[in-house]
Amino acid sequence: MTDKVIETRKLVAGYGKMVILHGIDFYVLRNEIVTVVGPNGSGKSTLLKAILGIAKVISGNVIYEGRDITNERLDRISRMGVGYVPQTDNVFPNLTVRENLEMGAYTIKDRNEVRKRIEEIFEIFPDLRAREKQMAGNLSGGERQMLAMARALMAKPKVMLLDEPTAALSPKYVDLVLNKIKEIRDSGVTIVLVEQNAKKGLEIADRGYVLVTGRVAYTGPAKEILEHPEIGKLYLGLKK
Amino acid sequence: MDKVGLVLGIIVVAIIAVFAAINVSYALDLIFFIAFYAIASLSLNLEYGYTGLSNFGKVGFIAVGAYIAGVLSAAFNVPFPLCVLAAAVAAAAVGAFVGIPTVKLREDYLGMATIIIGEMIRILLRNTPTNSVWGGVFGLRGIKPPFAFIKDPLARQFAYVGLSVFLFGLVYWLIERWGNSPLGRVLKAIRDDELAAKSVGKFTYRYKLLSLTLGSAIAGIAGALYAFYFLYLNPDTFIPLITFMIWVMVIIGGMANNAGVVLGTAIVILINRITQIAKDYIKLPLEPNYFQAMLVGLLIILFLMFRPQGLVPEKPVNTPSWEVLEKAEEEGRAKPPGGEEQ
Amino acid sequence: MLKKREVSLLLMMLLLLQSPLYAVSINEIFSKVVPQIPQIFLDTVMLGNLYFLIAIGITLTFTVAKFANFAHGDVATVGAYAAYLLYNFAVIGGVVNGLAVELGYISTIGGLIILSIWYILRRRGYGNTLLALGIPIFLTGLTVLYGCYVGANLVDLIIVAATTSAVTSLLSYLLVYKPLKTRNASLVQLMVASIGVALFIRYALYEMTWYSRTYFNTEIAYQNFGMPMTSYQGWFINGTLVIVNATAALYFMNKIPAIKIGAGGIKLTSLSVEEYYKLPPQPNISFTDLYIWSTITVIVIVLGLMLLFKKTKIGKAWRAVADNPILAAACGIDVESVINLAWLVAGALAGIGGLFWAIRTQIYPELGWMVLLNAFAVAVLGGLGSFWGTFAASYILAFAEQLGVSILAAINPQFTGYRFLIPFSVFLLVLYVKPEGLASIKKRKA
Repeated sequence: MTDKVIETRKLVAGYGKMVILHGIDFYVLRNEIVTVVGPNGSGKSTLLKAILGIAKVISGNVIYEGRDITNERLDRISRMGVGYVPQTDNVFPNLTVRENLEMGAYTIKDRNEVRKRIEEIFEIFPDLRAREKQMAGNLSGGERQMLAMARALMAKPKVMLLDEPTAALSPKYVDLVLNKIKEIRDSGVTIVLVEQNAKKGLEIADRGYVLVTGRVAYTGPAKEILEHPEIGKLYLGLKK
Repeated sequence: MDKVGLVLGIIVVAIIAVFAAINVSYALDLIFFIAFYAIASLSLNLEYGYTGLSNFGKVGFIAVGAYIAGVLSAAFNVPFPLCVLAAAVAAAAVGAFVGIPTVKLREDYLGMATIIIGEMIRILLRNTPTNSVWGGVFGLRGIKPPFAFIKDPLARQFAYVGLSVFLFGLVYWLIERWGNSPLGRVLKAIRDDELAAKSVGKFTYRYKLLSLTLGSAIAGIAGALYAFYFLYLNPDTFIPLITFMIWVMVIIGGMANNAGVVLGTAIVILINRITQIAKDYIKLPLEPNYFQAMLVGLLIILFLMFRPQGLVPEKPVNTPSWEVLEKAEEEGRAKPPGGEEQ
Repeated sequence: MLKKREVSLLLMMLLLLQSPLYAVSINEIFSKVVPQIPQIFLDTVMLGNLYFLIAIGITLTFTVAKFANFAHGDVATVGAYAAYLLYNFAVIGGVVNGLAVELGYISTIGGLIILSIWYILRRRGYGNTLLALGIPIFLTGLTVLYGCYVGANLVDLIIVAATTSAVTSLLSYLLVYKPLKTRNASLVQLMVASIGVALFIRYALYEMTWYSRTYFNTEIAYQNFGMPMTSYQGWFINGTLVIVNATAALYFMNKIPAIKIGAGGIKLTSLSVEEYYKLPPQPNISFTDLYIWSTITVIVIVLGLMLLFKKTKIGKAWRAVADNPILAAACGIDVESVINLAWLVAGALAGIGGLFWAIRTQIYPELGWMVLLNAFAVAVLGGLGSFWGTFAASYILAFAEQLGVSILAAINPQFTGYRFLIPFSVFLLVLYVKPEGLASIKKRKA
């Protein structure tokens, strides 16, 4: 039996009166990296937001570990073990790096446990240790992205939803971030990755979804999408 | 105008007619008040309804107009039309003075600045020397009536109220013209989405400032009308509550709908008058004036919550909006499962 | 390093303060104002304390709600009235007021009921709002009962003012702003709604004063608070500051408590009547208990808020919600609880501020509204939403006002009626020169 961590069934969602997703069937298996790619405005970010209850689900269901979490409150979903790294505004700028991490571990009651977690995180992201006392708003773009992922990891999530973590990063950081994502997966976290950079995003993924105007245009193993003769050219700007 | 508006409008006119049948002078007074407040609320509608500016100091601009007109008439014997003009210019100047630093900031700043300006003006007027023409707390006296040559008091009142209604009509016509002009569409665009309005190349700052200045000028005219009706001014009549009465009129009537705003004005004033009359017959364990002010607060909240578009909703602009485009796109392809029953 | 804009700000402020001077000889004003400087500083601290207590609430709600709350002043009036009524009418002529006792019991039991409902629902993750409501209602009841049976002291009054205002503030959020936010109300609509709340509260209080006048023959508007104050006077004599308990001088004929502060340290002594009357007729400084109480209160509140924001989990969560509510929720923070807390704290501080304002001047339904406009000036000068900016702005504005009043009085005593214009002028100046307020100056240094 396959173990679906997150599943959406015929998901229709949007903001206010605007409908952006028109019936998405989507799932992630345990401990895989699934990358969602597609052109601008195809509803990639909205898919994540609909899963998390930020965008409004009009019909259809979101299932997390067998429980229906459609339109559930974000803080409750997060307490169930779903980590989220938004594309922009993904750190608290007026909190120090350490405080940002503490906020990530908000659901952990034990203070010693939190301290231990922060040490572990500093092992994974050594750059952050030097900036511990700095305001997160003063970090560079790459450091911010690291902090955002580190913050999401603090709560030991079972799944992490990452919204374009490589957007607006220098090439050096793009590879670094994607490597970290692979490391995080190897530590046992399931990953849903929304990527503008289709090639890089799919390279580290197990499976992929191609979203076009709010519908799933193609789905399959990541390699298959990368090597597909038309999908890449039509939607993703990949060159042969 | 839609059905609700039409029915309510007929009721308002009927009530005024009943008053006129009982006491002509009282009905004239009522009509003057409706005209005066309608001019004020139309000016607020220009600022808030069309442009989304939060002017919480309307009464201050009215006071400026009233006092400038009053002083010019009482001390310098300036004729009535010039007084009105001067009142408009002075109030516009104050509006521009507040607007220049604030309209480019978030709406909070304009709200706070205007409410403070309104109170500043009142305090300044209170503290003018009592032996000067301004009168300080004792008020300003000696305004020359514009229709002094008419001997019969009722006829004189009739002439003045007629003039006020004419001015109201003029203001209404002007704002309606503005609302349907390219400028009006720009103002609405600013209100609905500043970023979008900026990106299509409309310089929002200047239009916002223009809207605030024009609105203030119109409020100044309303003030001048007030001064020449009562021929006496007291700073303590220009309390912030007046501003919020005007806000209620706009909110009840319907944002960016001039006819609706006038209707809202008439409704608020009639409710006010009728409760004033009713309090002599019905004894409640309440002070009716305070109760009315509480009602003003409650009405603001309830309308914002349950009918933010007002009694008479805004008329759609005659250009295709996003929804129309969306619908066209929607029809072009298969309906999504679930649809949009929201 | 001052930037050009800051220089121009300072210059304009100086010009503003000097503008009335041209009417009278500058020397004359100088000779009148300079001796008052110690007093001006004392009054600045006092007035600044009171500004801070009101303005900080505006800042705190602004951090999470992101709109200027025009009802804040009237929330403060509610607390002030609660304290005033408790202080003056809980015990009338030695007899405990039945109405007050009833209210006390209703509030205590009501609070308990709300808390027990919360206790039942808490497992399901609901009802944090009930907790936030239940505690202050319960506390209000307890303090009212304490005031009835034991006697209301200042601490008791502070608590009752804080809790009633906190409940009012939270209710205004739950009943008005929260539903409006879920309906996607715009910023202007939220502001207008807060004005609606302000009008409703203010005129409900007016209605209460009318009711009291008509049915109980008791005037409760424009009354002095009636709290006995000890006044102190101080003289600079040969480099030593002598502070005398001037109220005691009226009662104890031979031993008047005094403090001598000088090069030799601080010494508690007492003066005899002869010594007292040998002092110059005009003291250099004079102040009352209220100066001391308000300063202590502000110190406690500033320390408390610092601890809250820097050390506690919920305080950090508050800052997180202020920064980015969606990300805060993604961290598992119950954003609604944090917002409830923000409205409670802001309301409580408003109540304390309102109480002190009422003690300083008079109690009347428009009290909070009059203070609110000054508090807006403070909040904008501080840069909306900045804690230390608000703190600094409170005292800067208070100083400008006190100094301005002294200058106005030196020119012509009638001009002191214009004192309200001073904070307002500063407000307009800030808008013209530096709309970001003081917070932006601090940020650039960091």
